[in-house]
Amino acid sequence: MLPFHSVKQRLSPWTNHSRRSFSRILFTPINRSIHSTISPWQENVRDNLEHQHDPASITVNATELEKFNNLSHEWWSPNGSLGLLHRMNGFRIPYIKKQLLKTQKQSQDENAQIYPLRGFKILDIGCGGGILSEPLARLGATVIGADASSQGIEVAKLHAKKDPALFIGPGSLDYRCTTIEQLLKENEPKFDLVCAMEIIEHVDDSTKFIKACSGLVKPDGGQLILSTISRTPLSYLLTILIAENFLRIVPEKTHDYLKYIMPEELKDTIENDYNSFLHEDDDLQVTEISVKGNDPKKDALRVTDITGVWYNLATEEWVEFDEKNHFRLSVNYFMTAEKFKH
Amino acid sequence: MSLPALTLKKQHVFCRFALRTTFRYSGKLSKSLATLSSLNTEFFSAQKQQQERLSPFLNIKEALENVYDVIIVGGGITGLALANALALIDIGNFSRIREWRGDSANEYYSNRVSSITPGSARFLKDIGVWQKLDHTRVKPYQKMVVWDGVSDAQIFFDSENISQALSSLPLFQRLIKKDSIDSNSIAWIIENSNIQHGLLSNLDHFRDKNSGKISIFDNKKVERITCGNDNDFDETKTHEFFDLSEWPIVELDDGQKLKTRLLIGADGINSPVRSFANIETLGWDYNSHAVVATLNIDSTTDNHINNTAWQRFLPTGPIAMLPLHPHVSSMVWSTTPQLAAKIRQIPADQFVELVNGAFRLGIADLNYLYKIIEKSPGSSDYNIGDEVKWRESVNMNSKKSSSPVPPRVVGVQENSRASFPLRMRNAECYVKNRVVLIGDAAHVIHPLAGQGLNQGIADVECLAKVIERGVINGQDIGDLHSIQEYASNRYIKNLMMIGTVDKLHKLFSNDSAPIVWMRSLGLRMIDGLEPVKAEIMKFAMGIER
Repeated sequence: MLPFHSVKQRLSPWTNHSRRSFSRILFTPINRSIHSTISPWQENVRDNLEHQHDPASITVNATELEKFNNLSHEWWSPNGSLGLLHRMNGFRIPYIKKQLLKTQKQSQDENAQIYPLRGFKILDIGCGGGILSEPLARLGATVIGADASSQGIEVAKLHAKKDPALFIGPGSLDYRCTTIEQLLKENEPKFDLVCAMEIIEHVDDSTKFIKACSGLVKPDGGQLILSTISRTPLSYLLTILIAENFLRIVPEKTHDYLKYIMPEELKDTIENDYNSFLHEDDDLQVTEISVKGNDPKKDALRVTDITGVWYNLATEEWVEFDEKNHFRLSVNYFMTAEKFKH
Repeated sequence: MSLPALTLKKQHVFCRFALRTTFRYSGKLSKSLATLSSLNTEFFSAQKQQQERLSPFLNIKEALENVYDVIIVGGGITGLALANALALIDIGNFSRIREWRGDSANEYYSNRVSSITPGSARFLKDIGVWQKLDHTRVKPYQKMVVWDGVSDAQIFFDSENISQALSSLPLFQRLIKKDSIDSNSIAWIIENSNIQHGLLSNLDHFRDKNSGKISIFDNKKVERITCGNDNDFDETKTHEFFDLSEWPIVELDDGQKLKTRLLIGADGINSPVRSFANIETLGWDYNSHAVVATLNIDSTTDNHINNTAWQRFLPTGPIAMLPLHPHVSSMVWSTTPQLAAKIRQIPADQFVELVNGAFRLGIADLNYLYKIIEKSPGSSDYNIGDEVKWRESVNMNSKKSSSPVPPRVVGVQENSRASFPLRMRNAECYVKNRVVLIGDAAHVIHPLAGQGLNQGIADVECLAKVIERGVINGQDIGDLHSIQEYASNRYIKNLMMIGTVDKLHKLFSNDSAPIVWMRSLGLRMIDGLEPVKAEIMKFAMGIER
C-alpha cells in the first residue's frame, strides 16, 4: 500500500487556493504558456522572499531554500539521503563530457586525457554541497559553484579542502553563495557551460530562471545542460510515491509534482525564450544585460539533445533509457541546448 | 611481521590503466579517457598561478610531498594483482620472487599452490600476467572426481560434458569466443610463486617504461597506520588550504610517513589495515588443520596424463590430490589438529602409504591407522605400508564397484609437508571511508573448493573497475561514495561462496547414517543431471561474475 494520505498532505497547501481535484492535477498538463502566469501561492512566496533576500533573487523559492539549508549536513554523509544524487554522477559526468567534447577531436596528449575538461569554464548553478562541481574541477574545468543556500556553500567549501587535487589544479573550484540573477547582474564573464542540474523543479519561475541561465551562456558554442523530472503520472509514482514516501530513499517533500516540467515545455521555454523576453517589460533588466551588444539571433539557444534516464534499484545505477522506450522522457531527463555559431 | 608496503603514485599509472581498458572494452571508453588530477606533475604550473595568493606555498609543497593516491599494503597475489590492474608497482623484499625460476625439467614443486578458475585466468590474461607465467609449470585439469568417504557415492565432472551442457548458454559461448584461454579446463593448478613471479615481472616491465612515476618501498615494514587528525602532519601549515585529517597515514619502519587518498588492505587474515579501520570480522575457526605436501605419483594407470583432481570427503575433513605435472600432484588433507601434527611428522614412506590409504580404505580401517600413528609416532613397530596394502586387498576382494581411484602415490618431496589451521572469516564490511579490504584481509574460506584466491582475484577485478570508473568520472576515489560499489558488488557474492563451502564442510564432516544416506543420494542424483552439474561448475569456475 502506498501512503495515500501523504499525497493529500502534499497537496493541501495550495488546494486552498485553487481547489483542483487530485486527479485533475495528476493528469491534466498544466497550461504552461511562454508567459506563464504566476499563481497566487507563488506570489505569496515571492512576497516573503523579497523581504528576506535581495529582490533580484526572484527565482529562488523561500521554502525550497529552507529545505536545502536544512539538508546541508546530508550532502556528503556516507549513507545520507542524497546517495541517489551521488550515484547520478555516474551518468551525468560522462554525459557532460560527451556534450562538451562532441566537437573536439580525441586528443592523444596524455594531459588532455587526464584532464579532458581543461580550459572549459563551467557554472554549476544550484551546486549544493558540490557533488557535481568537485568532479568537474578534478577533470580540469574552471568551475564556479553557485547556490542560494549559504549552509550548502559552507559545506561545499569545507568538503573541497579534503582533496588537495582540487586546490592544485589545473582545474579550479570557486563556490559562491549567490543567485543566477545576481551573477548576471555582476557581469560575470560568460560560461562555456551552464549546468542547472535538478534545480529547475525547485525554482519559482522556470521561464525566468532559464532566461537568466541563457544570459550566462557564451555565444558561439556555449551550452546549457539541464536535468529535471517530467510531469507525468509515472514520474509522480516513481519520484514521489515510491522514492519519497514508500522506499524513502529520497527525503520526503524534496519534490513538488506541480513544479515538474515536461520536456516539450522545457524545450519551448528554452528555444522561444529569447523572442519572448525581449518584449517582456518587467524583465528589462535581464534583457539588457544578456543582449548587450549582441545580435539577438546569435544568442538564441537551440536544444541539441534530450536523454531520458532511470534509476536501476538493483544495480544502484542511473541508466539511459533505450531509444525506443515509450517512457523514455517521462521520468528523469537531461537536456542540452547550445548557442550555435553563425 | 613483515608487511611489504606497495605504494602507487597514481597519475601515470592510471592513464595507462585507462588506455588498456579502452582496448578491453573495444573503444567504448576512448572518448572519456581521464584520470584523477594528481598532485605531482601539475604542481609547478599551479605554483606559478597561485603564488601571489598563497604566500605559505612552499610549506604546502612540503606537506604534499608524501601524498599518494593509492597505497596497497601487502605484496601477496591479490595485492600484486591489484597493482597490476592499476598498472603500478612496488613492494617489500621481492628478490626471492624475482629470482624464481620455473624449470620444466625440475620436478620439484612448491607446496603452496592454487587452483585458478577460468574466470580468474581471464582476468590475469586481461592484465597481461597470464602470458608471463611459466606455462611449463601450469597444469590444467579437465576432470574432477569427488566422492563420499563413508558411502563411496561419487560425482564426476568432465569439462567436455560440461562445456557441451554449457554451450547452450549464451554467456558461456561468449566467454569461449572472447577467451583464447583453453576453456576446456575446469581450472589450472599453479604454484603461488609462479603467479607472483608473473605478476612481478609484468610490473617490473611497466616500471621500466615509467621510471620515477611509481614508488617502491623495498624491504620495508609497516610500523603503524594512523589517521591525519591524530598526528603532527604539518597540520598548522596546511589547514587553511586543505583538511587531510581523514587521510590515512602509513608509517614505515624507517620513519617515512605516507599519506594516502585510498588505503588498500591486501595484508592477509590478520590485516593491520583492517584493525586500523576498526572493522570486525565474523566467522570461526574450524577444528581442523590442513596438511599440504607435494607428491610424486605413479601415473602409468592413466597414461601419464594426470589431468584429474581428486577429492574424498572423510569424516575428519576432505583430502584432495591436484595435478601439477604428469608425475607430480599436490595434496591438501584437512583433518584434526592432532592428526595433522602426526601426519606431518611420520617418516616419508609411512606418510606415502597413509595417503594412499586415505584415498582407498574404508573409514574403520582409517580410524585404526590413525590410532597406530597417534600411539607411536614414527616408530617402525608397525609398518603402515603393509597394513594399508593388506587392508586394501581385502577391500578390493569384497567390493564389486570399479569406481576410478586416484593414481598411487610413490613418494613425497622433501620438506614439502606443512600444515596450517583452517578458518572461516568475513569482515563485517569491506569499505570504510578511504579504506578498502581485498582478498584474505576481507574474507577467508575453507580450501575444500579451491575458491579463496579466486575470490581475491574477483575482488581485485571489481575494485579496479570501480576505481577506474571513479577516476574517469572525476570522483575522489577515496570517498566512500565512489568505493561503495565495490562492497555492494563483492560482499554478497563472497558471502554466498563462503556460506556454500561452509555448509559443504559441515555436511560432509558428519557420519551419522541418515545424513550420509541423504548426501549420498544427493551426490548420485546430481551426478546424473548434467545441467545441474553444469550450473554448479559455472559457479565454481567463476564464469558468472
